Amino acid sequence: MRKSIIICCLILGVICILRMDKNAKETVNVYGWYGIISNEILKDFEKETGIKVIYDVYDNNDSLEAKLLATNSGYDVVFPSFIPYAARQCAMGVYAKLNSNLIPNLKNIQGKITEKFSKAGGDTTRMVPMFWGTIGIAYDEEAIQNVFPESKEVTYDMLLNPEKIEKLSKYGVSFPEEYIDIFPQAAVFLNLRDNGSIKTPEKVKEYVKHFKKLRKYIKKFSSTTLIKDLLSGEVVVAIGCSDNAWRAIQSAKKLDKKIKYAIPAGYAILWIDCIGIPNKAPHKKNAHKFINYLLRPEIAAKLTNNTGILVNIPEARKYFDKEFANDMQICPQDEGMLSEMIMGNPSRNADDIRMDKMATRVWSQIRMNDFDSLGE
Amino acid sequence: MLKVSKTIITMLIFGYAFLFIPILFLIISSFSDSEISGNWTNFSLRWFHEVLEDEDLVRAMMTSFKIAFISASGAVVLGTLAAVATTNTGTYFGKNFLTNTIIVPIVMPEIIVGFSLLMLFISVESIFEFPKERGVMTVAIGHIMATMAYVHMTVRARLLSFDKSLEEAALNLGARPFTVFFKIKIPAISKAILSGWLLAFTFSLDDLVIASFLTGPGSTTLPILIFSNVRIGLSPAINALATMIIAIVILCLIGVYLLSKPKKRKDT
Repeated sequence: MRKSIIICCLILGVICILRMDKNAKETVNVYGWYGIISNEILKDFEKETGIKVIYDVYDNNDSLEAKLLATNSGYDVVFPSFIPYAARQCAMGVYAKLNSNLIPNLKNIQGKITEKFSKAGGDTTRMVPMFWGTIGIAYDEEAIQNVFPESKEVTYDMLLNPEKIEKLSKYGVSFPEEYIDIFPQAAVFLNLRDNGSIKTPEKVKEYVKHFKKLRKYIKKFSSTTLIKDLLSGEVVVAIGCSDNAWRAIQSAKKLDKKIKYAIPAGYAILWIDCIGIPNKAPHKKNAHKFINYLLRPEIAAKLTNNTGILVNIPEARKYFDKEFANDMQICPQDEGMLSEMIMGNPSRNADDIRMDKMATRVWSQIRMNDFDSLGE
Repeated sequence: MLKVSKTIITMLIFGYAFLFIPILFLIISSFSDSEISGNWTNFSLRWFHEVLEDEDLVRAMMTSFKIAFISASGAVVLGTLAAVATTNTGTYFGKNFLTNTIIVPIVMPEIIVGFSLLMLFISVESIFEFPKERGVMTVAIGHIMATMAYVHMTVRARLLSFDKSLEEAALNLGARPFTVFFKIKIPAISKAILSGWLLAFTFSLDDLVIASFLTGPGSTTLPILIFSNVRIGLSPAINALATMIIAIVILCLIGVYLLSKPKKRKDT
């Protein structure tokens, strides 16, 4: 009896091992965020081209970077965030040059976002600035009206002014996990914004002084749990990404809640995610085909409709869901508004990197409420 | 009947509550209809449907089970051989040293195991052009390395209490060492091997750190998928999946219990 069970196990094991390598088919290995490309799109692509997509997921840019820097990652298409990751990786020579003959749809990528991308030093011959979104305030409308009956709109004044945030604090306020998503707004609020960097030592000192007053009113620092936090009522205001906010708005409808998202003028932060082909990609040709497929306006619009992440293809706009396209805060399209958006600069030299590190350290100490070691 | 004081009983209850209430809570909330995990509305099985329909989740689960199966089996073979070697009655040069160093992977932080293996694979690849790509096989190798020590410990403990005279008797009666190993030793330590296998299997199933260093195209494991999922906000489908895994584990434990039961009768 026991012997037969052991034999069965062994046979099963052998079958498992033998079945492992039998992908004679044409493939393309894609490494991306969870859920940004739905299975439906992958299947349509396979049907059309006969190329099988192997889609793997990562949970943060750092895991992607680790894979890319460890030579031959085996991936053909990756989706890094522009700042600071893709900019840094590009400078290290991680990405292959795109062959624009193989990607005729590359012409669809144009407009203000691409302009801003190039201005910030993005290399359009190696990266496609495909996805973008904003960082703003997601909030529970009812709660805000209760606390501030006189104001019609949510503003950063409510979050960064110690007297006002105090009133909100008992309902819960959530701030971002990374300094890069909050220091720019603080710089605008404290009138520290000029053409230079937002994280010089003097400015950071000012932020610390200011956040010392705010810290006790902030319930949590999280960028990933925005949806859950707002829906469960743990917080009523959260600073976060527009795509998360959109999902929260959609889910809130089923729960009879009203969640809204706003990018107060002058405070909107722009983020861009790129598509790139690593240097040592084993299936470069298929990778180009895949990118070309994603850049079709109607396919790109599907990506947006599934995730709430905007695509940088003006023509795709007409395929967006009506409700999504009509929300000017979630889906901004005014040229003036776009060019006003704040976008960080990638670190270029050792000085920049030192300032990055300092800002990261300072922000994590603010988060831990450890103002003593900051000299405050 | 042993008399047990009330304090001990309350401590027992608190101890077990501490161990099992989180899991119980998870199982209950997986049957909820709510959109947010951990929020009870109505009873429903919709999240279970959702799990089964989610191809990524099912694929990741299959990959995880495959890796766990391969690495547990590999770890059992190597760990058992190592245990037999370190409990060998004969003495040889460096025996103590070997016995002690084999435990090192247990105390080594996983992140170091994962990173060092990655470096190894990269340099091996640049010399021999193998492994061409990282994937299921490299993760399994990493897990074998990390779990072998667990198997070694359980099997070694059993072998130390193993009655040597049985082995000597068999040798006296003319059995070859090979036959002795399979006919006498292996049956005697089968339970330890099984528990070592299960330990290795569960370790591999929930390992995130080593796996995230060593995965390649087409080998996203379940923990990696769940972690990536967090960015979108954890869906209650994960609760349902966890409940399913707990059910499978309980079934396995019952199976193991039933398998080992007749053996017990023979012992006494």
